[in-house]
Amino acid sequence: MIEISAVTKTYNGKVKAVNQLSLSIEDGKIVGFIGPNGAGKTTTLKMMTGILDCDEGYIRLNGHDIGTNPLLAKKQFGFVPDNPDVFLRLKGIEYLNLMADIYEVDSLERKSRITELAEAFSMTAALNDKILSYSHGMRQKIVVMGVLIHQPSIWILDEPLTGLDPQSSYVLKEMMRKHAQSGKTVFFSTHVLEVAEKLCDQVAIINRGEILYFGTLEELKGRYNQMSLEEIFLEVTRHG
Amino acid sequence: MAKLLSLSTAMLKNTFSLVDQGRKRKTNRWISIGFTLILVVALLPTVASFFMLTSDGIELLLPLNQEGVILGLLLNAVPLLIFFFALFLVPAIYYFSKDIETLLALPLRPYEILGSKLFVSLIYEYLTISFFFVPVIAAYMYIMQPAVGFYLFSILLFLTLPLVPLIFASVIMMVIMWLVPFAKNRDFFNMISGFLALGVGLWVNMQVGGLESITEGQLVAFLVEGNNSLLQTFKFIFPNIPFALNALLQGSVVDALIYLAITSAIVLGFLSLGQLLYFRGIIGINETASSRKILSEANLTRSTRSSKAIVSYTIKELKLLFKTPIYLLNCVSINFLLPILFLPLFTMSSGAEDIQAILAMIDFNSPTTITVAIGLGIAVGLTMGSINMISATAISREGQFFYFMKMIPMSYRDQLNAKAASGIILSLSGILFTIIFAGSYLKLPFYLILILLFFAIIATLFINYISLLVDVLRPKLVWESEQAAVKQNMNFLFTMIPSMGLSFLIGYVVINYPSSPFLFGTISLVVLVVATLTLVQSLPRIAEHRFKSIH
Repeated sequence: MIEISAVTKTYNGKVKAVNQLSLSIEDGKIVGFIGPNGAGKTTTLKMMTGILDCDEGYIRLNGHDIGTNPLLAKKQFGFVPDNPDVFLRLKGIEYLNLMADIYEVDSLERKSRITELAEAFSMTAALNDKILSYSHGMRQKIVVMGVLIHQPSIWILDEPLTGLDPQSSYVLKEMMRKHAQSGKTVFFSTHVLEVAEKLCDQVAIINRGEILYFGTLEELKGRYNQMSLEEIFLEVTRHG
Repeated sequence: MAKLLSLSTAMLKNTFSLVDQGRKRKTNRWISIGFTLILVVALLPTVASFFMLTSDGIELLLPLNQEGVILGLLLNAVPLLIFFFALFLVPAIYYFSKDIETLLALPLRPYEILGSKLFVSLIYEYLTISFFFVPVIAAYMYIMQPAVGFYLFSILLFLTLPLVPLIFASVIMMVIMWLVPFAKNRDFFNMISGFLALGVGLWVNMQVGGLESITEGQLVAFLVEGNNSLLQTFKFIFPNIPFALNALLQGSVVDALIYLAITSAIVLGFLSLGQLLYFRGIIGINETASSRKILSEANLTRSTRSSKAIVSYTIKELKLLFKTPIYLLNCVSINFLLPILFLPLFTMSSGAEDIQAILAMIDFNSPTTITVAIGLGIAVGLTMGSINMISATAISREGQFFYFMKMIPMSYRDQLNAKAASGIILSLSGILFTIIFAGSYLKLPFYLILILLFFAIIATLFINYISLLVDVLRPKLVWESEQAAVKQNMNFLFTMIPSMGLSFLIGYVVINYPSSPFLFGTISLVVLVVATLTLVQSLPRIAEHRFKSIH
């Protein structure tokens, strides 16, 4: 369960990146976060993960406030940032083991999860190499694996499918579906409307730091008869 | 040429806009002004002492007609200093900087990229040498009142002096990197390329530099002769320097022109050589071999062993320090290089004899010796803890991945302690290496080695936490190369200030109260321990507050 209540973020006291944003995402849902460049998506995700502080409002993850109880709140989610170039000098296995230690996953469990995830993402042969030697897509995969290793109940992903090959993209989407089906939450930002259409139970459309629409895609399509999703998105953001 | 100019300008703007980061907000601007003021105040004594020292030197040499020796020393020392700085600077700016891959994709000739890199390095060198060159030349001008030509040539010299030593260091590195593609283990060769350049540089200096070997009789003859005849004993590594010296001392326009001609020829020669060699060493610099070997069951079990988060975090810090060529060269190796650089002092026959003679006179059981040992231990601890820059750049080195610290469910207290631990571990290795090496060579009594070690350890804990505090307060998170995170990071100076202040205070106490080792030891211990514990306690809160304003 994610609760975002009247959250505002202003940069340098002037630019309002997010303005009175509220969202309530229930368990068991995949929610797509859509908006044009500079709409406030990444700022919102950063506030949800404790990377940025909210100027106003609060964010609760499974009931834990990220501002007042950050350590417990951070254990509730796994975050995949948009730039996967983390700790390039470490080997893949070293990175995964570090993440497992930070999230206190015991040895036996981490070993079996690493094996499973590496097979699912075709990364078994790359674990012993430095992340520096990985392609962009492989770096994306190792970051996703680092997040999934502690099986967080909430997944927060910033453009998670960018750079993934079709097979890994399919695997990740399947994992997202399974995760939501098991009663947990997935919240991810994307520019690809087709992905949102196929994958999401709900979408939140943001522009200029404000939520313009939050609900199911069917409901949205119902409002704009005979328009494609792309046209609907342009229409909503133009008037937002 | 036009491309070279615009590329150099762009690089310069980029470099200085990175230096200037975070000054947009009013509060930050005041903080920046405050820091700059502190920096100026801190550096003033150094600059002033160079000025005074030069003035005294000139006045001493003037009656002998040997005042030119001061300029000879300056023109011998400054290029060497530039050369050594360049050996650390060049690998990062020419080869391991982040912009390399972008530049390689542009339709640019090797000499254009190389020229712009030389230009950026040159600007850094100006900043470095201005602390030495300006006060010495100013003192010479103040006392000698030379002709107008001297003033003009001094400016020209300041602008051109770093070129040749910088190019010498660049050529050494360029040849080494040209050989890299032939190496089987490219990763390893990349890693040690900086060390190789440093080794070659030191070897060249030992072979060519220094003074001509002369007898005492010859020395006296030179001294009596006057007319700056002592300068004949100087050996200059760089071929253009003797002409610069003549141009300064005798106001010779011809020598000035020859100096400029040699310098220009070396620059042109370097760019032509770069046209041949630079791309051969740089293409694929970021290539890293991938074995694509599947981990065996046993290896996987070993690699997935669990540890406490703080231990794992410390190991991560150490691994990154050892596996990143620039950090390995600047932060790790320095712990072991420093004692090695002092090695000739002990091993040279005359030096060793002198030391043995001094040691024979020392009563190791006297209170004064113990007081000195305590003071020396603290000084070694402070030096070894600050010179490696590990704690002073612990946050800066995170760069754009600073968000990782904020995102993970690990308290700032644990993260900062893990970062301090990595700095302390490497400082301690350097301390152990230095004290045990020096102690056993000098045959110091065991208890004296223990006293030295004990106080060095306490002092290094303190200085590592002070350094971490400095980096928490002003981390340099936007940088183009890892070199910028550690070497073009002003935190070094802010760490040196408390370190130097404390060393002066300890020096004062040791000189004035040499016979109270117990009191001195106890007070030092209590002050250092209380200060360290206060820092350990308050750092997480300070970090919490400071990190909030970093986006």
